[in-house]
Amino acid sequence: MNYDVIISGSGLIGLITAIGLSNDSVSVAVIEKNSLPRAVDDNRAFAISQGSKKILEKLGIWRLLEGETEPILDICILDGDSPFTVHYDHKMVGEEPMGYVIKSAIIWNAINKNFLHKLNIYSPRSYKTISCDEGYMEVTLDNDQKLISSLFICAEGKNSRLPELFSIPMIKFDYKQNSMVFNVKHELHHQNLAVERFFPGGPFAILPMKGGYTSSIVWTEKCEISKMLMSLSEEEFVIELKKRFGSYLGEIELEGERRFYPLSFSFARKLHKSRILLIGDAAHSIHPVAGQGLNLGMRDVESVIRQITAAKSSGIDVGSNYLLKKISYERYFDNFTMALATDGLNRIFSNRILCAQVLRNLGLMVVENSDFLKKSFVRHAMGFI
Amino acid sequence: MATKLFCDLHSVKAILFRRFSPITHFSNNININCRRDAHSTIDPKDIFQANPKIIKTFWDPEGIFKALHTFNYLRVPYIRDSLIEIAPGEKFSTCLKGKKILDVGCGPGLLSEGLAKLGAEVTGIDANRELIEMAKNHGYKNKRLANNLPNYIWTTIDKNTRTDKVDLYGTFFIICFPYIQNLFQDHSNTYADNYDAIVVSEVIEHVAEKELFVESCVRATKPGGKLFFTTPSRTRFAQFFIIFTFENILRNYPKGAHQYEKFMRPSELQFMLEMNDCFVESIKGYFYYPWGNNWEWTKNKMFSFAIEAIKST
Repeated sequence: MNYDVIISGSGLIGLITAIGLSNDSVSVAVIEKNSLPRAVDDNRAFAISQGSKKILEKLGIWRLLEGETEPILDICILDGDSPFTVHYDHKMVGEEPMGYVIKSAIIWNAINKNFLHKLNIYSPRSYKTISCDEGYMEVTLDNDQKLISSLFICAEGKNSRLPELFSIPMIKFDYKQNSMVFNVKHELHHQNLAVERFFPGGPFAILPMKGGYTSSIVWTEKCEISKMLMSLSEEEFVIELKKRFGSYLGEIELEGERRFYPLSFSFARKLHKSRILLIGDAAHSIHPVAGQGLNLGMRDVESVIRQITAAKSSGIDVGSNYLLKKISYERYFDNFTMALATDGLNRIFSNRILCAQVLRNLGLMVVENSDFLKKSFVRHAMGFI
Repeated sequence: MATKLFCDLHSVKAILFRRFSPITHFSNNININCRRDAHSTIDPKDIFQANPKIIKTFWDPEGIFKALHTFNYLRVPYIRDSLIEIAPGEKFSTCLKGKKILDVGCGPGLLSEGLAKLGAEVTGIDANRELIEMAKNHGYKNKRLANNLPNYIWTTIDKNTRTDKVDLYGTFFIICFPYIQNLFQDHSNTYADNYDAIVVSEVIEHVAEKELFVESCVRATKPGGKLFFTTPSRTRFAQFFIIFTFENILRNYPKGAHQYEKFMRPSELQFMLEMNDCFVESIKGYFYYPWGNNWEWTKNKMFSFAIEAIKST
């Protein structure tokens, strides 16, 4: 079979790329090693920035999600119990909210129902060989089916083996932290306020969810502590949780199950090689401290769709080196600064060193009192660079 | 050489044109001298031996021809948009379906493949056999193109004179004095009034007998068909950038590929086209930015220009 683009991995990023490209008359195939449509069983929530929302709007996905999203109007940043806080208000930049919180199940259902049947999906299949030649590349699937395409986009997530196979240099290390993700119900309305509170073990984020009386919690802790916390019973866990959560929303109780995800950093030093392009978490898996992983991936998607459509409409080979170079020039700086910023934030906030404490409190103070800095941070978090 | 020149000037129109336009007369004289010198000093066979080296890099997107690769971003939409109006939602891969396009001086098929990818029926002709072979090979090897391969034709007269006739970089870059006219004239005679569009991209500045060349191009076009020419302008600005900066310093173009004397002014090309009953629709200028390796339309025509003309019915 002959396609313009083959996308490996049908995560959110992979599928959104496929949807966007096939909207623009590029023929796309998706290879997924698990069977599709995938069962949605996690209760995670995605924080989608204003910039990503615009991208989803353009692709026609956003209208399916409307009514299921909760806007984030304010963000509060606290450092443990120290009195210095930063408060971001969306009114500083405009009328639009800074971002939206969406349950992953909703976004998945929307995609499964409305788009999956339009895509050429090979699942459950994995590829055996990938061979690049001048002008095209050939992918052999494990049932010996041969797919020919111009470009192979790897959107397989952070555990992808492809960069290794193609010897694309990666920077990789483990944070020795786990993120616990769960939802809580609370007595009082959250007023669309997202809270990020830093503790020596890692950041603790509260994201307002639909309805007003539930919030999604992303609790990052050191490995050993998080394992211990996960083994606690629900009542004991809530007691521990209250110490972090505070009492500003009244009584709280757990909703649904707790899950934990180990955190690691990986960053591809090259985004492309021959006819392979890395996007999303395969290229950059960053710390969830600012909730920017998906948004960064969405900006990749936007760039890929724009460039490939432009090339396709000009009759240019979509896997050609200069096109991939163009995409990676466009993306590399943003990826790098975001990776650096999230890593730096995590490093400076997740410790007990006095020097760092002084420094970060000073930083918070400066940001709180500087309109310019605040605005530029909000803009960046919203996805407008 | 001089006798040959007069033998080749079949067209009375061309003779008249020569007489009344001192600029082209002057530049053609210079060309004749240049080419004769080049021929007398260099053995074409040797050049041909050295040629594959340069030709091989044609399809290398990082090589010295890299500017031509990204040029498709500009010229393919230009040709596409003036041939058809794209309705939103229409597939790009079939939008030029049914259009017969002749790519004159196709070289290794950079533009031909680009147009073929939009579904057009492309015929590429070139006087250099190596380049035509290369174009055929590249298209044939590429499985993505299999269903709509451009048709490449090597038009030449006979083998004995071939080596004399083809110069350093092949016709794509330097077409020796009167021969391309013969070659292309042949094609235009056999396929008169045949093509919806004729594309002559970065070729005419390598052609010597320009009046005849343009006339042949017009002959091959259907009445009401379109002609597209893109070529550098004869300004000192273009000379400074194309010949001095891009060829010698930045090496974005192969060295020695252009001669200032062979460049044309937009008005000259327009005049030639109008002499052949064509209506010039638009003249646009463009510029090449070497740092980003991209091309953009500009308001002035100091660097290069693109002409779109319609053959009168």
